[in-house]
Amino acid sequence: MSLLQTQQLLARLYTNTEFRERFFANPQTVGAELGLSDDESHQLAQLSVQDVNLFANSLKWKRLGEVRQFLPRTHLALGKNFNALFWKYAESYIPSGIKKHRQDAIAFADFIAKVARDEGIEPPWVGDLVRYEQTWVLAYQASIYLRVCWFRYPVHQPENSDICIEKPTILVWWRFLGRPCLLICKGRLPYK
Amino acid sequence: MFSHLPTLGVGLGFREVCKSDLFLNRQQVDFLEIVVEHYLDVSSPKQEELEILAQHFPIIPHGINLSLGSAEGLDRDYLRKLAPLMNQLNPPWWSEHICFTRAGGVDIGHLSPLPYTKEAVEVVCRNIAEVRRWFDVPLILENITYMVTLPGAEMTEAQFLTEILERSDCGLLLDVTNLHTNAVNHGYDVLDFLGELPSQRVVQLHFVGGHWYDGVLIDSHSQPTPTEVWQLMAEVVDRFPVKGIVLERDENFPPFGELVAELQQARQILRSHS
Amino acid sequence: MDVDISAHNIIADMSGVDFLLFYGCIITITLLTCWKLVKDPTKNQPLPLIPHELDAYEIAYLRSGVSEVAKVVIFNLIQSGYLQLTGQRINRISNQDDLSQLKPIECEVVSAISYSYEPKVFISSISQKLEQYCAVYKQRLNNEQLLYLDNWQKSNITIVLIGAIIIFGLGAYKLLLALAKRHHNIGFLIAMGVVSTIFLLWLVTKRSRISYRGQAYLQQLQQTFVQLKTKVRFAIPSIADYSLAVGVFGVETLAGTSYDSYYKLFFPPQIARTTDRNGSSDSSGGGSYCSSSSSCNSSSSCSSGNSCGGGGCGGCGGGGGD
Repeated sequence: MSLLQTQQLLARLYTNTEFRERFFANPQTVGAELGLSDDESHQLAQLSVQDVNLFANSLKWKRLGEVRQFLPRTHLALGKNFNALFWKYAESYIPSGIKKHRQDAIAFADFIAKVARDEGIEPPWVGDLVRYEQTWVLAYQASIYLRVCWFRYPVHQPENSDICIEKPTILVWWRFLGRPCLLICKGRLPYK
Repeated sequence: MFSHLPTLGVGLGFREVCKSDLFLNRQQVDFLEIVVEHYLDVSSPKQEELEILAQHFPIIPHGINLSLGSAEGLDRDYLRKLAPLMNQLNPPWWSEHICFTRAGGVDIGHLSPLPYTKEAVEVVCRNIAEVRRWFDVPLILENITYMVTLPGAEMTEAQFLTEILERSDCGLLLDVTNLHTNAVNHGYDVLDFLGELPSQRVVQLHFVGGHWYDGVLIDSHSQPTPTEVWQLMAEVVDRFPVKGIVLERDENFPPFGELVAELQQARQILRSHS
Repeated sequence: MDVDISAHNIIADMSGVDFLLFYGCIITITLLTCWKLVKDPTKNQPLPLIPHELDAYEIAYLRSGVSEVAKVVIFNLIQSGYLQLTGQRINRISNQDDLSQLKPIECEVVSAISYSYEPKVFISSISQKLEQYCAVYKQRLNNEQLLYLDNWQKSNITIVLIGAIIIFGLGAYKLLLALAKRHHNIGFLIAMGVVSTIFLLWLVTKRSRISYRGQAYLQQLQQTFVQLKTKVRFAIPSIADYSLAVGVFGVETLAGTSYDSYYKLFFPPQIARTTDRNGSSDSSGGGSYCSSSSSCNSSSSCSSGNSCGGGGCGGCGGGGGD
């Protein structure tokens, strides 16, 4: 088996849980699907399942650690749920490139926002919070940037008890070559 | 063959979180190692940061994503961005890893080991030759830790490293923590390993501490340097004409004074054996 | 009374419109030349290296002059136990008579506090005395061309005067001729003269205290030591850390720290601003209604990115974790 094929297989084993489980459950069958001979499949089956799983998990932990740095308040708000959500998300998207951790954070923020919208997770303001943090990441990415967002909760404020009180806010991010700036416009709830 | 390279002393892997403390303790740090990926495709504040660092310290660029071991070849887009950075910094050397990080469109996200085969040697040397067509800065290659032992090895790890270094005429960035970690996890003798290395090619060292998890030593770059690594460093410095030593702390940062203490200990080892 | 000025030259013989065009060109060339010449000669100079030993007082002097130095001095004296805050006032701690460890500027401040003062009042009263102690900072900063030098301003005034003479001379000459010939359509000519005067005045008065080099150097210091702002709030900073933070960033950096009360002396709560990660202003849009769901409108163009965050090459971070 050529090094090219070996590396392609290894890359999938390291990053795709479903593929890894299938391969180690039945290396000959999965190997045949990839065009490997029986000998080649047998050789690769000598890989230690435990070691490969350990390495694969460590890759996700590494991604998680990097993403946490981009979404620190969301991590704090979600607690252990942050890790659980990341584990669900991590299989669906593998970032690549120089800015992969940043892309990972942006994509994971989308995932959390979607779950918060569709399934409703605690705390109720986490959907707004993750969009807020995501927008900062996006603002740092572009050299010219303008974005206007509505938030139901005052997520721009540092952690305090008021964040759980609905206080509609419009936030405007803008950036022109320098560091991004934020303009906060507060509104009142419609009178009920 | 690397004796003409300048002796830089003891340095620190630059992490932005330590920037203020670094400048308050400039005299304790002889040079900086920067992660190349942190300065590719960046906006002006980050470029200015690099310029400030380069004005105040000798800089050694350290790549983590070139994937020199990729059989499918190098990412030319990455090289296109890397070359101007090398020209800007004009460092005495730069470093990358003997590993691969992507294959078949999948970015693994970390340094993955290569099989110790002749084909892998060939691939790495071919890729290095291509890098040299983009810029000609002396390259040193780092040994990585590995959790997975790949089957089909035709030689030992030390023989594999030596073969690559000699065929590609590169120096060695000997990560003593990685060496210790691999020796612990895979049960081999570090002194035997050192005995097989080409002595004149060891240019720089890395060191730091890791942590144990479930009976496996992890090179997390998150802990103080353990005694075994200090001892190994002393052994290495005694054998090889090292030009620079870098403390590579990545997380769980202690007060900067503790990092300075480790740098001073490394400096003492370097001085006592030179 | 008729005044017979029989002048015949190219300017005198120009018709009104032709002269206005000509005058406009002369004004443009003169103003552009003055603007080019009236400049900060440090604009593209390389910056000095950040010294090994930083002087918080010198940096404060660069940032905003003697009053800022006074604020840093008072703060340092509070830190080292020579002064204390009592409510809105500062006063000397009575059992601290040994001033031998203090710098001369610090001794001056301590000695000047005989009873309790409001800091702003005290700083105004002592600023003149502190000038002599700041002279050494001024000299060092001038040597590095970080402050706008007086002789640059003198040369700027000379350039602007020459420009004004050219513009006024030509305009006044034509104005006199026009009046002599009883031409009264001179409004445009006068307006051009007035506008160009305003521009020339602006050129000569727009100078800042700090040169371009000084501004760039200060910005570099603030970028380099930005973590001090976090350190003083969330970590355990040393006296030197606090002092440098206040020197580089001002008293504002003490907000929310153990010395928050000192910050509030200069920034009372009613005029405190809401700030976010990288500075923002808070403007209330009262009375607005909003939809019950959050949404985003955006227009953005992404070009070059920015790299931040940690991570070196190693450290899988392992299978550890909770």
